[in-house]
Amino acid sequence: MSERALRIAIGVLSVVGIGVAGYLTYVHYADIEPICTAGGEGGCAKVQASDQSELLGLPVALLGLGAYITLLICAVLTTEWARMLGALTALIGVGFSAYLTYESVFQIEATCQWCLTSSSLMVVLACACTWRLLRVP
Amino acid sequence: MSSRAEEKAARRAEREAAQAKQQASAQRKKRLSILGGVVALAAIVVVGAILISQSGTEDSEPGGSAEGKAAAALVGGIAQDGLVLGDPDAPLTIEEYVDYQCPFCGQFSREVFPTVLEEYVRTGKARVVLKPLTFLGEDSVTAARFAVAAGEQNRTWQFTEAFYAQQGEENSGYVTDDFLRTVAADAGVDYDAAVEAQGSEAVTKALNDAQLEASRKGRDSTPSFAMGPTGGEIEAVDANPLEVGEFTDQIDEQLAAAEK
Repeated sequence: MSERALRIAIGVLSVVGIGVAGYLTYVHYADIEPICTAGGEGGCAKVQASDQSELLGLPVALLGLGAYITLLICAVLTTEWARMLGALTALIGVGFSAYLTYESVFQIEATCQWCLTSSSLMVVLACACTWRLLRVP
Repeated sequence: MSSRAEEKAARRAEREAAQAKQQASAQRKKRLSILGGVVALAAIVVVGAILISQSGTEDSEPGGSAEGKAAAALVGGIAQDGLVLGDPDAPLTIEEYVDYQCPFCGQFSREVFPTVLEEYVRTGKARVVLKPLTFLGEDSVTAARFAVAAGEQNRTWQFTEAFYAQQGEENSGYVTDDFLRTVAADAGVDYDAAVEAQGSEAVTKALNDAQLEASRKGRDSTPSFAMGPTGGEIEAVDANPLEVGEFTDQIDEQLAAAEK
């Protein structure tokens, strides 16, 4: 994959991520229940209401939104710094998502398709950003 | 002469190839070390975030239990005022007479109440008023006092759901301080504040009022329910509260009457 193709892929995935995280952030602040089609009755509401849904008082959905916006900016820029920041952001995202998914399944015992979608996006983004960082521009 | 020139060219090509190889290898090393740095930094940030996330959980909720937390989360985001759960302007009022030790109250809360919550309370069609009774034993009194005290924090319903999720054997003495501490943690109730409030006049009065009303109206079995238009006549209903369909049919009927 060329640098250009990688940047397009990262950009598109980031936009999808902004949609998912943006929706969850909206749901958090509007104090409504997310539309939940998987994960059992009230799974999303449970996950959203859990302690793990906030970090230092910030909803993790908002942190995710920030990460996706950062990734989108890094996809637009072509500098070495953009490549590094992109990989860093996506790797942090993937690590923290993995932790949240673990907590969701084993501690909260409920899953939410929005969060799982976001986690999967982060995995793909992390692969793409690492690849972009490693290949010689 | 020509052979010497050829030799020279060959040597140069060799040198250039070796140089290019060296450069590529250096480049690869450089990129890998950048990646290493990025991965290390990411790992530090992630570990830090996890530690913060975990300590946040512990700070606000020492002990706590997963099932209690999940149960308490069911009423999250619904308005509460003391013992009342739901929109104050909801057309239908449901009164629920319970004893915290009563096993059927626990069963109702775990199996039927989630549906009632999602379909009627969260949607603003009904509000539920808790009437805690204490006739089964000492533990009933302890639990009910704490629950009503949690009402000062508008967390009675989180407490109630978390309590039923971990309800023990009737009169086995399981409602200990430790047990209440766990349930309070699950429900996000400030334990010390609730302990402080549980012996107050207001709590005693709330329990006495519920008891008096129950005796006067003959609603002394638990769980028992009364429904009616908000602000109007609330009358006992006889649907089996442990049958979801039967119970929600009754609510629908009462709701239709209340909205008339």
